Amino acid sequence: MREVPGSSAMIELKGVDFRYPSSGGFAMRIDEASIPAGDCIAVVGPSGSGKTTLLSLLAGILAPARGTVVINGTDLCSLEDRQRRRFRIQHIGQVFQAFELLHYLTVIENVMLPHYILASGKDQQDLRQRALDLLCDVGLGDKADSRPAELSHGEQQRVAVCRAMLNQPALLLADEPTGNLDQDNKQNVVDLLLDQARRNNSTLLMVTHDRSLLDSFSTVLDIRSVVLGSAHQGTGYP
Amino acid sequence: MKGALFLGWRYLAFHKFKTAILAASITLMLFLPAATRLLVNDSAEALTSRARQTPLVMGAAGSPLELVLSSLYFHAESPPAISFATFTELRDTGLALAIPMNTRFHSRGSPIVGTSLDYFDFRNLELAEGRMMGMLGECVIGARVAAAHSIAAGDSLVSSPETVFDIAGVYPLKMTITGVLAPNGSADDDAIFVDYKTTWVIQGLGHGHQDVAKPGAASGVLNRSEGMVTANASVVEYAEITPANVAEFHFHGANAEFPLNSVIMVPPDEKNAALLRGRYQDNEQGLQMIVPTSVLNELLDTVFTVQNYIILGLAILSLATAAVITLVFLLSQQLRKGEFHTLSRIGASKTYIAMLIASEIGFVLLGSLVLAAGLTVVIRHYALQILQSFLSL
Amino acid sequence: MKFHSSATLLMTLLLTACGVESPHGTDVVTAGRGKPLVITSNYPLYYFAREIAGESADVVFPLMDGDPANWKPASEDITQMQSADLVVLNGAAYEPWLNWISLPDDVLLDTSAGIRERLIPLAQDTLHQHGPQGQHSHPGLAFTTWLDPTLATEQARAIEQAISALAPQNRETHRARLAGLEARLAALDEDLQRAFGALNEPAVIFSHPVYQYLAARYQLNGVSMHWEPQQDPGIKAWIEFRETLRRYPANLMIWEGQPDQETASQLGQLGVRPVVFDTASNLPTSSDYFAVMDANIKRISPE
Repeated sequence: MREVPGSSAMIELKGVDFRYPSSGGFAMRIDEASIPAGDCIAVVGPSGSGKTTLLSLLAGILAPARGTVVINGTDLCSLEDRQRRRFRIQHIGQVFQAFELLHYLTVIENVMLPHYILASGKDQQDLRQRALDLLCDVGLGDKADSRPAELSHGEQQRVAVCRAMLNQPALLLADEPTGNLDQDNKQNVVDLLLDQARRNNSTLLMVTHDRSLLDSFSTVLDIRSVVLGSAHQGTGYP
Repeated sequence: MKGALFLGWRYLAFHKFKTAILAASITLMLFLPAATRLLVNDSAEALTSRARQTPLVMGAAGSPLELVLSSLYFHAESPPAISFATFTELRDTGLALAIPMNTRFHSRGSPIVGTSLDYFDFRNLELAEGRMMGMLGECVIGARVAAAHSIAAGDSLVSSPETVFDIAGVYPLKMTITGVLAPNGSADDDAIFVDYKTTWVIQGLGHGHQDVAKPGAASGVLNRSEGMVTANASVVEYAEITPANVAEFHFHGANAEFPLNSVIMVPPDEKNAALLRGRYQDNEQGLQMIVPTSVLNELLDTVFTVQNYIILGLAILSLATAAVITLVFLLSQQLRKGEFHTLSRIGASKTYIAMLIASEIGFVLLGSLVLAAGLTVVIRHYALQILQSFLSL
Repeated sequence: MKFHSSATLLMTLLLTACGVESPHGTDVVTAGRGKPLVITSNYPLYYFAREIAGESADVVFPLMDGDPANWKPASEDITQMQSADLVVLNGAAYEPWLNWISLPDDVLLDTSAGIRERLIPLAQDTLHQHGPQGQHSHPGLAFTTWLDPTLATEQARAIEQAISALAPQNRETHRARLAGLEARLAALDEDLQRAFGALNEPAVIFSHPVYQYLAARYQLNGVSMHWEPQQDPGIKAWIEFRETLRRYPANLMIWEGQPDQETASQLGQLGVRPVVFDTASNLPTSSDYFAVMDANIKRISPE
């Protein structure tokens, strides 16, 4: 694992060139981009501009053909798949548009899912307590033993936020987390994400189409400003 | 990988119905052939064990299987009768212990086995309560007869008439139970044992009545002349044999002509057995001497052939069931693609997800295996009772 | 299952209390004994078996009132016989109870099996008929075989073979004891021959048909009545008796027991001497088989 010394940026991208394997698939290029630690940034841009792809590259889910993706000093491109996954669970929390809770686990078990995927070495009882504390923070302490199907959408997304925060990640990535919520819940979830990020001193990147939420963020990043070219292969970069 | 096992277990526990059906299907796939084989083997062993203990059986010429089933298991139709003279002739050869058997009659659905005291030593039957039968009309019952009718030593049983209007034939005799045998795990548990002479009384070949020659029998006497007393039909025949009236019981005709169904022969060694078989191999006297194990082995060959077909059928059914189960699993994985995608995005490796799927399959298989093994152990434990209930072995 | 012979024990105690030596000696059968148990159906067989077996076996004669030919074994007796190693039977239809009890075949010894051709059939019994079966009777055989010492010898030999089979280690002893018994029976036969021969009686009347073997052996021209010793035969019977006397001019009437005084007196008036000939079928009060037979011989011999 290659650490990049002497940098205060949480995220640093250099010479990233990514393309999906299938012919005609999406491709994008980023020369250089840097995001300081602790920033809460809303990422906007038109559909197909690579917002989700960017988040996947930052999470280490996708690997660029060229370039470096440095998260919290670690170049993800120098890691093997197994190491990338481990890094992702330990340092990156993710919140998805469709909540993506496991229906057969209880609420608290869903929060502890990252621990079940990769035991962090921490004591399970301690982690369970942390999970419970997180749920209480979001007002769901009394529903720890409920199933996701018994919760509203807003409650489910709050559980997903708790899941993302279990391992106190340095980087919090949220891809359209309010896309399936009503207006009240949208703001609640955004507020929650910002609150958790601040408390944990995490860097937050949230992709959104909803302009009404942008006021909550100190920084709004239009993806077109960092992505040099993004296009489906065959169409060329602008 | 503990997490994968945990998730796998939670998935199965959540989908109880599906898991139960899968487990039940696999359990049946494993259990049915095992149980079939076990029951068939056990019944074969029970049959042949009793047959092995019974070296030779003599009976009237006819179906050897019917003779074996009647003599060893007291089943159904009793074979044609042989004479008591045949028994005495066999006994007097000195080549084997001869045990007379008369299994024609029943009481309350249980076979009445007329035999001699030698039968009990031969079958190693012990008394759980009471004493051995001592005189005519007394009986000793098997453990299951006692339990089924809640009767014990001191109670009584009445022999069943063979037909509704059997007025002048078979004698409904009230028999006193003197003892109950300890459970033996064999057909003896379901039988009522009497002295073979008692079966002759039941058949009407012997009876008891007031001694009409005595002066006190006046009311039953039609006419007295020198050397002859003619009794009228009102002379009461005793329907029960008691110590007070047993001396009045007598048989009409020569014992030699009285019937038995078979004679069990227990030669001391193979040489005597061969001599006996040789003497009666030609069936010239309308008799047959059979070796029960040989007769049963033929029957069991057929049973095992049928068993093999059954197991083949079960195997084909199991293959079909396995195919369906595999399909269910594959469909389930298809439906859970989104879930696996989520796990992968959060950080789960392909190996982890494979472990997750494998743990679900493993849990179901393991659970089915344990259940099938448990059921097999239970069947094993109760095999004899099951066989006795359904096959009256 | 071996049991104390309670009846035998009781009798032994009673006889001991009366100051009479029990001819049974040690007849108490103890549970768990090592010796074979032999049971006999009448006294003569008991005597022979004891003489032959000695200490080889425990020989028991069940307590029974009256004539052992009329014995109805109780359930305790049956149980004891079922547990015996040998049940010595007289045979010749002496034991009708064999028809109604259950015993293992291999413990039964019919001591008359070897003398079947010498057994005497009874005169036909009363015919009777009931129901549709037609007339029938229950014919049998004369059974007092032990009154003929030559038949008794054959029975004793059968007993020796059976007891030696049970206790083969003492076979030689049994044979020696049998030889002694045979000698005594032969002597008894000679004495009876002499006694009856000296009588020179044209005929003998028997009170009861139990002397067939005696009559056959010693060529007694006899006829049997059906009289009981202590019962008045009745007028009809006396008339019949006189008729019989005309056909069998006897001076001697042999009785199983002492006839009552009136009967004896009437017999005396008819010139018939009543003589008791004890059949010794049951246990004598104070003697044994040979003593009983010796007493019989003394009574037969004219004074």
